[in-house]
Amino acid sequence: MKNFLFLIICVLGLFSCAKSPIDTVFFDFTGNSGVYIVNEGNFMYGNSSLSFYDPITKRVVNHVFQARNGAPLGDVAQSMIIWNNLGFIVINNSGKIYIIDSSTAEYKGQITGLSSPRYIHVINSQKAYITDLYARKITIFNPTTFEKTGIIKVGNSKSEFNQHSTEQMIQYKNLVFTNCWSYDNKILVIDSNTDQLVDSIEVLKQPNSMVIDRNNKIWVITDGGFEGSPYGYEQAGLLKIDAETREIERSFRFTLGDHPLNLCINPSKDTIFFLNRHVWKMAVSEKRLPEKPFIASEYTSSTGGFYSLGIDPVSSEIYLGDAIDHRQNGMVRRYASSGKLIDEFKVGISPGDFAFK
Amino acid sequence: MNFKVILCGMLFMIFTEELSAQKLTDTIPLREVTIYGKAKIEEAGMMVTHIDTMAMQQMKTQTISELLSSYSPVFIKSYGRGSAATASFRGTAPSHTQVYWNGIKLNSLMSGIVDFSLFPVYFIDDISLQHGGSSLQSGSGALGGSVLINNKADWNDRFSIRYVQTVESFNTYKEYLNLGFGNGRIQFKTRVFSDRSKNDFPFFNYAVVEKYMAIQKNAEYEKAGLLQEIYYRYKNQSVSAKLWGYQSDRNFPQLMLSLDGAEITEKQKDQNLRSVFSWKMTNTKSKFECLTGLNMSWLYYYRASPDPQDKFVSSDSRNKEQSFTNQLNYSWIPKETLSFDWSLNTSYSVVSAFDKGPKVGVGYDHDQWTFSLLNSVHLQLLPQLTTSFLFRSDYYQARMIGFIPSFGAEYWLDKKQLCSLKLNLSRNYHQPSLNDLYYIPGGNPNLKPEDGFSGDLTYTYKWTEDMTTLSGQITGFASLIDNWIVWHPADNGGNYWEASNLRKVFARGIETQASAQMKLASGVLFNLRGYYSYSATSNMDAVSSVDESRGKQLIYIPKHKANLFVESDFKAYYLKINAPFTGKRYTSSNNVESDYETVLNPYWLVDLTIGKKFDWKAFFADVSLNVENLLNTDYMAILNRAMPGRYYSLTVQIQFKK
Repeated sequence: MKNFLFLIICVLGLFSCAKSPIDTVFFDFTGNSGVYIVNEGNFMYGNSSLSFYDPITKRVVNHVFQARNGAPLGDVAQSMIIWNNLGFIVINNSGKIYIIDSSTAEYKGQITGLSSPRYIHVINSQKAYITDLYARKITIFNPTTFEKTGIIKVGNSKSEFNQHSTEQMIQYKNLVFTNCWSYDNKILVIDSNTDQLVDSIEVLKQPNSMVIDRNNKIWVITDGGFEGSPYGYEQAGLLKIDAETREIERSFRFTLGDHPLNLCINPSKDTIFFLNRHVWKMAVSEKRLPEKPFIASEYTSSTGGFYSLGIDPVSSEIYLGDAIDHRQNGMVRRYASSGKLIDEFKVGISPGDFAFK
Repeated sequence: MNFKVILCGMLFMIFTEELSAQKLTDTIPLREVTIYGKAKIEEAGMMVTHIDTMAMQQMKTQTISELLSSYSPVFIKSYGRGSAATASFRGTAPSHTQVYWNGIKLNSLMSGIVDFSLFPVYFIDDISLQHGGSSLQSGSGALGGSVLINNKADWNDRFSIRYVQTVESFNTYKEYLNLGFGNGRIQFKTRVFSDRSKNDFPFFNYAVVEKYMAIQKNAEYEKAGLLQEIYYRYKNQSVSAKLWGYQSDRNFPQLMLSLDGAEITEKQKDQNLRSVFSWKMTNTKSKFECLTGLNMSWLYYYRASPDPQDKFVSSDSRNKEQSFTNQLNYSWIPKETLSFDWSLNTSYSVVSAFDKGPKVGVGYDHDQWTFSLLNSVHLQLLPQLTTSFLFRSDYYQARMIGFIPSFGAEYWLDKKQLCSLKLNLSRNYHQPSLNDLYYIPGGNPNLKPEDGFSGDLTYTYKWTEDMTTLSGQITGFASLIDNWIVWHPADNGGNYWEASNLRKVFARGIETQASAQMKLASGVLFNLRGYYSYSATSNMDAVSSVDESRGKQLIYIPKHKANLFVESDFKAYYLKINAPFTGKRYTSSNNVESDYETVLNPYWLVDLTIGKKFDWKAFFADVSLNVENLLNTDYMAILNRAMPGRYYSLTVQIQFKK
């Protein structure tokens, strides 16, 4: 029996192992330039992360959130905005917002209990909106205290689909426009003074992104859904809507099978950019869709094209996220406004959004 | 840690042995025991391992996922206690493991996989693994290997009743009842079980900024099942009918880092009804079997926010699969050294998959016929050399795959047939699952089957002296699989994923297993066993110039997997230690490692069981106390999913046998 106990002790001795805790890393991102890259990660993996890139020193720091705050970011980080030296990071499938100091990445607070948050828009220092894919409501919170202060109901009980999901937001005067992407074709109009839904604009199927130009025209990309969708499948489109009259002024259609996305605008708000495998550029005065891509993707077949697009609101430089196979560290390429490649660097898994300081 | 693994592996390579189940002296009703390594002509040149009945007895209140995880080189990817568990054989995907119950294939036609957490060990009499190309004997598609689960008649059982009750931590209760009777010509056996748990284990949530001690929520499960068997034999003929009904209701907890969001209800209900009827006729030189089976399964999956103010159903899917299988097997054994087998299998399946999450259903209906013909010959060329050759011809989805061959040879290095070398070379293919082909959106009807070539070489040995037996085996394997199916973001940038034949994958490695059995003068019986497998599975095609995944290990497949098992019996007392090891697993395709990258650390778990047996002639009882995760190891099997620390269970078994 002694031998046996000795053997057991020996075997157990092999099992011990130690983990060393990881030290907190302190960052100093003060200064006016720099971009946070929101890496989505994979759905139900919880491997999203935040990267920071300084275009002057060309230095990139990955995993800044976890390194500074000692916890992973969450499951599917969707978007980020910077307001008043605070970074609001929307973590979609974790149903929460993490707020950091945008100069140090230090955790400042959180907003929890959300369903499927997508984007944040700050109205003023007392009021900001959070859109949601599933909740059929917009959550109102105070961006100074991080307290939730109310909701705006956007449910559409008449539809046979779960409407309305809300996505991006743009503001014209006191009105906030938000596009309804999932099985939907509406742009909702909300009065930010009263927090009431005041109007809606019918567009083409599945508006996925929008911007507002220097002439107060709202540009919207619709992706048309997917083949076999119960909501239907149609050619993707690009629409120009007058923000004042809410009338569609111009409509451009893509070839069936094209899937344009990620509409952006340059700082002077006279040229729009979007992804459709390649990067396309179009002046707001154009009457036709561009024929040649502005920046061509090197991909020829599967896992094609660029995944995300961002434009520096000061330098007009273009940032392109390439998710490669969506299972490894993605690549970000930085181009001058002329389309010339300046730099490229590795970030986290599936770089999906850019937040410029 | 790697060093420790290698050390353990080496220790057990030296002191090793093959284990059979004959050492028990009490009245545990051992069923027919197949001793691994015996030269059966129909298994000649095939890499087949049987999990012995002792292991099954030890794990009687567990599921097959836990049994395979502890007693085989198969890697089980488990989503947590009570949650889904899939098997990866020799570093391949879960859909590359085929599972048969009494000859009926159990893999889901839609997903191609099997959830091993749904099968209780209590419902099985025999389980064996066909590794690599040897799996072609049972059917095609198992690029990694096959798991064969069988039920057998106990012709000596006049009347027996057995009841097992387990009470476990986290409000877990398991009950099993077995009733058998017969007269040697006709036998009945009924098994029922129930397994339910609140699964509310505590864990420290370190995946959020504001860390806290948490109690697992929404992880409850309830499983229940019935297995009825009837056997009849007359002269050289026998018939059997088996019916297996099963239901499982499970809630799925959210990721540790998503517990601060709105509450989410995520649950799944699985219902299965399977039946198989077989008629066998055995003559001196031939065997004929006719088998017919029906397999029906229903799966409901639901994910929603439960808040009535804010209710949103993101998924409400109802999947139904029905398949009707017929099989004819004929074996002709003209002499002891030669056997031929023919088998014709036809199967008709109907599936329906719909998700009513977006209110209006999205999904597909499909039906298909498949045919498979097996021709095989086993030949003993020399007293020490046996060979086998088989080929299958398959027909599915209007596609003919005419020639899927496998060649095997076994050479005994000594006259006592204790040491041997085995070789197997084969081609295999795996047809895409129906979801791969038709799922909306993203299914790709133009997918080609995954096509593989594989080979393995095995050395087996056994040594016996006085009261000590050592045995073991070591296998080297390699396979190259082309047209490996991958789901990836849509080519056109659409907001969904789609399936493509994207990769060429090279899987290679070794499997070793070894055991030792010793009886000391003091009457103490020792039993030691170890398994170790190394599987490197890498992507040989990279997508673009910046793609760093080429040559890297596929995600969630550990390179190292091991298990140690120690057992000691002294009079009526016994002590068992089971220690499975899971190596490091990557969760990114480029295998990047840094302080913050999401690499899953390797871990050992140690389970300890102490028990006593009571024997009163016709009555028998067994009481055991089990400690799971004895060292309270903090580990993650899947990224950001909470796992329990140390926990306990008490099992009482009472049996009467006439």
